Amino acid sequence: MAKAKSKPPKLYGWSARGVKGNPIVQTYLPLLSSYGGKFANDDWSPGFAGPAGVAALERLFSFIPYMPAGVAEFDTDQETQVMLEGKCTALTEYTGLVHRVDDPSSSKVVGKIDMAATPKQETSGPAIGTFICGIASGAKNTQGAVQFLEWFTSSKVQTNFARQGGSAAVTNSALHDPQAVKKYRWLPAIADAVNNSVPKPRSPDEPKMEDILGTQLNEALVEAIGAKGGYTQIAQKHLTSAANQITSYLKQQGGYF
Amino acid sequence: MAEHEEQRERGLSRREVITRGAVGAGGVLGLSPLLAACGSSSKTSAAANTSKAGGSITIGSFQDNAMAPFRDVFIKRFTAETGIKVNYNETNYDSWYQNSKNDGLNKTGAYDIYVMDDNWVPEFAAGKIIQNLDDIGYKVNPDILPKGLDQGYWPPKTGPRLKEFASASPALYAVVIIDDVEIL
Repeated sequence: MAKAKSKPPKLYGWSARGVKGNPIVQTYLPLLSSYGGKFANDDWSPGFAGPAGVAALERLFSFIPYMPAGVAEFDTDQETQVMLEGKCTALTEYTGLVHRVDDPSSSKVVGKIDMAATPKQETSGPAIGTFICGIASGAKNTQGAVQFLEWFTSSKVQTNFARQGGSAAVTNSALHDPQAVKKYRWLPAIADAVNNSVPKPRSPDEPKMEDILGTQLNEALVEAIGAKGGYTQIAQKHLTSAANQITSYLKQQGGYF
Repeated sequence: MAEHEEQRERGLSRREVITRGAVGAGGVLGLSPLLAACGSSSKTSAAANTSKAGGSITIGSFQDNAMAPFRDVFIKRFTAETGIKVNYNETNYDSWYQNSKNDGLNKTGAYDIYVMDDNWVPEFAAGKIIQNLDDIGYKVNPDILPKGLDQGYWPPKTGPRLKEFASASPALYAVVIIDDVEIL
């Protein structure tokens, strides 16, 4: 569709976060999951430097002719601004964007954007990153805190939360509430995306793993933009480098292998 | 910034927090503190906590537009329905990560609830910065989407695990309040 519909620079087919680090990792992970790859295998070996990971990165490179020229420096603000100005046909982004697409103060595409779970090659696999609450170990009112969390995550309150501006509620009933969905069409897509989501590896060292992968992904994107070809070799080189660096780092940290 | 400089800048490293949580205050690294951090069933914290619901709670968070309805509407609604006053503070992401971590590590008690990014859960749970929700009687709403709920478990239910937590039973340490997921 990006190729069929886009007319750069007036209308791009795709916008993405390409700046190094977490942003480009977030761009890459749904593609990686869709090709059947993983950030980390169950034995902590990187799951992105094989054929699935390379194919996923090549897919991102294939969008280069249809993406804005500065995409390698884009973070969320730049990526979403292209869409809100009506200058791109699609992107993947976290649920925070949904509140802006129909806000006339910042969007020129009110009512024109729809949402879905991220696409699949073999399987859909959006990355998930929730806002989450813990009760402090030194809390002065633990039971009050428990009461608040039970109240806020109750089906009744979550339904009201969804009805209040289309917030990304956490219950199935809220995300399919007819009254909320009628006004905020993206809610079932959020449920679908959560149900198909792929969590990142759970470790205190995961942010560093993202830094390493995100640096290599950005370098690969910059190189691919300049080269205009040779995508397979570019992808393999940088993904292999990231995999080796992450493995070395985890060995240094200990507790993984 | 070099990693060691970043550690000095940010206080204890993430790895040091887990080790310290496993050791406990003044203790020696051993198996039982690790198991305690892993969520083996222990009602000690719940039984010892004699504070009753009522009074007030303090919630801290990082600034984010997605928190606006929570902050501006639902906190007030909770107070109206229960009589429990809610103090709410927010600051930028990096500052809040450090403030909440320090508050939890030192058990300062400045906050009752931390709103967190879910990638903080491994460090905060294993480092005993947050409490085991199973142990203190939090009742899970079965209507919560399972994959959102799973983000609050430590060690994780699926995927790779740190070796020291390989055989531990996952316990719920944090509960999802906003489903932030990538969509097309």
